[in-house]
Amino acid sequence: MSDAVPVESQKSREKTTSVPSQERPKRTLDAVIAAGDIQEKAIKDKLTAIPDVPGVDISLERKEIDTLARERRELSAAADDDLAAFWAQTRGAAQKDELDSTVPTNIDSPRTESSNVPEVQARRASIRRQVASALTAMALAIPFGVGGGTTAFASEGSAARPPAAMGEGREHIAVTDAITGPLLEKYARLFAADEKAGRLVHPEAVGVIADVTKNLVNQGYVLDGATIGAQSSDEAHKSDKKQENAGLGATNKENIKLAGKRETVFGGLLKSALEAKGITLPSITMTEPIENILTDKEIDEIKMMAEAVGLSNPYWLTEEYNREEHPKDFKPMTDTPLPPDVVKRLDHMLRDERKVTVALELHRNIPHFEPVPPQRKDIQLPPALLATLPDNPSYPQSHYFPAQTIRPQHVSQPDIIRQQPREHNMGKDANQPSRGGKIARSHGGDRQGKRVSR
Amino acid sequence: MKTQEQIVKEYEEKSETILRKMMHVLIRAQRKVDDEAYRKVLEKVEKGDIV
Repeated sequence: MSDAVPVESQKSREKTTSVPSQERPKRTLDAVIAAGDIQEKAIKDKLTAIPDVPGVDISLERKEIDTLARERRELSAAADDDLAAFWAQTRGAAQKDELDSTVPTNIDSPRTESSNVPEVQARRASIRRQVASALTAMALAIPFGVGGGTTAFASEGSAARPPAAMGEGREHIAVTDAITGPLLEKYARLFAADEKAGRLVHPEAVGVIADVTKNLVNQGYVLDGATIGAQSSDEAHKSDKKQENAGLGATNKENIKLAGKRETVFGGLLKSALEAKGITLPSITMTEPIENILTDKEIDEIKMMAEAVGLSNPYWLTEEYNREEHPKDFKPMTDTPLPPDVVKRLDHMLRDERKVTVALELHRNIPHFEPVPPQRKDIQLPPALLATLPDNPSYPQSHYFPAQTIRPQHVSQPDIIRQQPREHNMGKDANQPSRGGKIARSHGGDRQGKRVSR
Repeated sequence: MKTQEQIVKEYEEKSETILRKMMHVLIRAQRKVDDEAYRKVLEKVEKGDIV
């Protein structure tokens, strides 16, 4: 019955926070790998978090996930090599053209493929580690809600843009987050009109998002805007037809309004938190609020549990659960508190579906790759690169060309970063993560969200 | 020779497939545990521990 990470619902949620795919710039390999790493880590963490239950053996699943993780690592390495080969060949062809016109043919051969240079490999690995670790740290740094939030990051590079001859390019990054169970009200009696509606159980969650944003701004990113979405789940007990069966398959406009209020309140909190750190939020886009209704299977389970705790009407069970904080005028349906097992199931089915999602969009300008016209120039290679060149007197150092295109105006650093956008990062700390990872996979229930326009 | 775009696209597709498989395995593990918890609730009901 459980559905910890349903694929179906992720799709519907992505629609609320993501840019349509055809509008996205293509992502670079590192960003895709880093994004996958975050997803993989989230899955592993969730698996680790599953408690040991006597009589239940999930060792097989653990092994299976390890195997898949290994498979993915091998895939990443293969793609990395393919890309390195691609760039080596691309650069090789370009440099050959240059050299053909100016340098004797025997100069071609000593060129060392950058991917084979230990320093290059180490530096690449270091950059990738830093990107992955920065993103993972951000992903893990947000302990939202009792039920735990899911965090995802999307990074979209500018590799797809046609390189301009001069000027700057733009690197886009999107930080997205789905916050589960942060809401103070288990049941906002007056729904959208309730003063508690939309309040956070853990207000620091907004602060963490602001901190992440501040870090990115310090790295040169500019905040473009935020997209906020929210959903509610079975918090009204009366349906639109005023029958006391809302949540159990019936819809209620109040739930939509409540989700809408969550968006509004959270948007305000986010704006304030960012302003407190000196960051202006230019725009906030609110997506349509969503009401998640229970599936038939979940309704059946609730009926059984209601019967088990002695409630003749199943909606009373959700009512009892929703009224955990028991307003003064609320009389409990039963004299005894709900059994922990039942509360646990309802937490999963109801509380975890009450959430706010936020996607921050940022960009920063990066210098574009500028092809240099063929020319012959002596370049002093760094010692690590020189050490890899063949010890052959027929290759005088004055004829050595570095593995990458000569860029006289940018020769201050060895150019050892593989992917094209990275090559444009001249002038900034090469060890600094240049882009983030993607991701936007939120985890939650498998219910079909019902969208209703406000 | 594959282009950068092709390499990234192919990798992304394969990686997502693997991640999806991992998710399914995770769901299966979680279900095992949840089913057991649910079975215990029913057991208690049958025994009359929960009325």
